Amino acid sequence: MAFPTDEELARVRKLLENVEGSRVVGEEGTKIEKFKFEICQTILKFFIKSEMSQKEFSLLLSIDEALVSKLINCKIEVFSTERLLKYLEIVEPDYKVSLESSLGKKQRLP
Amino acid sequence: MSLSSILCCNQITKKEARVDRNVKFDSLGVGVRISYDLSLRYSDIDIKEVIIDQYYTKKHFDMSDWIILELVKTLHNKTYEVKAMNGKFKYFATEPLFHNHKPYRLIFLLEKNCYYIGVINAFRISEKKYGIPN
Repeated sequence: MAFPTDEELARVRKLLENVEGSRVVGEEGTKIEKFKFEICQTILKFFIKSEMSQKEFSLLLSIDEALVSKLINCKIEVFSTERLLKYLEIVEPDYKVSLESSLGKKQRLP
Repeated sequence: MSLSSILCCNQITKKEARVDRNVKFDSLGVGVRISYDLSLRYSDIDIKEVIIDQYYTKKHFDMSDWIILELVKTLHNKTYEVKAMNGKFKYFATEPLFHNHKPYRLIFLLEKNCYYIGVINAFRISEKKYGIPN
């Protein structure tokens, strides 16, 4: 384990001071925000694993690069759920969405 | 999040916090980096330790290691895009991370083949940016 040098840290701090941060949705998020965030996370994992460039990814999703940047930064407020599901279907054609409710659980009881 | 992962993520207490053996000190004798044991999963890596660079104390007096550790816990089971890379280090910037309903920005790093998160800066950000009333 070797932390970066002080010079390197100073350089990175300056570089990342005003860069657009990746969106985080934690426990404070609404259910719909968490759902959209999960979709973004799945798409991001695909993007990282694929080692595509943003340009290549934009061609795959048929959107411009600026939107790809928003997508991989999990900017959920930019996209509708329907739109995110459309992108998800491209990267994960066999995706499944499950819905669990107290009503459903009761219905499954014998 | 499963019960086991919640337990895992909440393992750390102030009592368990420890000063790393390799802690560096500046000219005032203040620790430059302090490490804490904290188990969480980030970007499919089992993180065992968080190292907090004390740089933030120079500018952000309302911050503390304890708040930063709470923010780091919210990264559990998440993955983010790399913002910068240099050699074996990958750098990330995330926001808003919430603590006591207040939004923060966290800048941190991962080192290749290592199991720690290195926090290099953290600070409060404007509530207005996220439509949160003061």
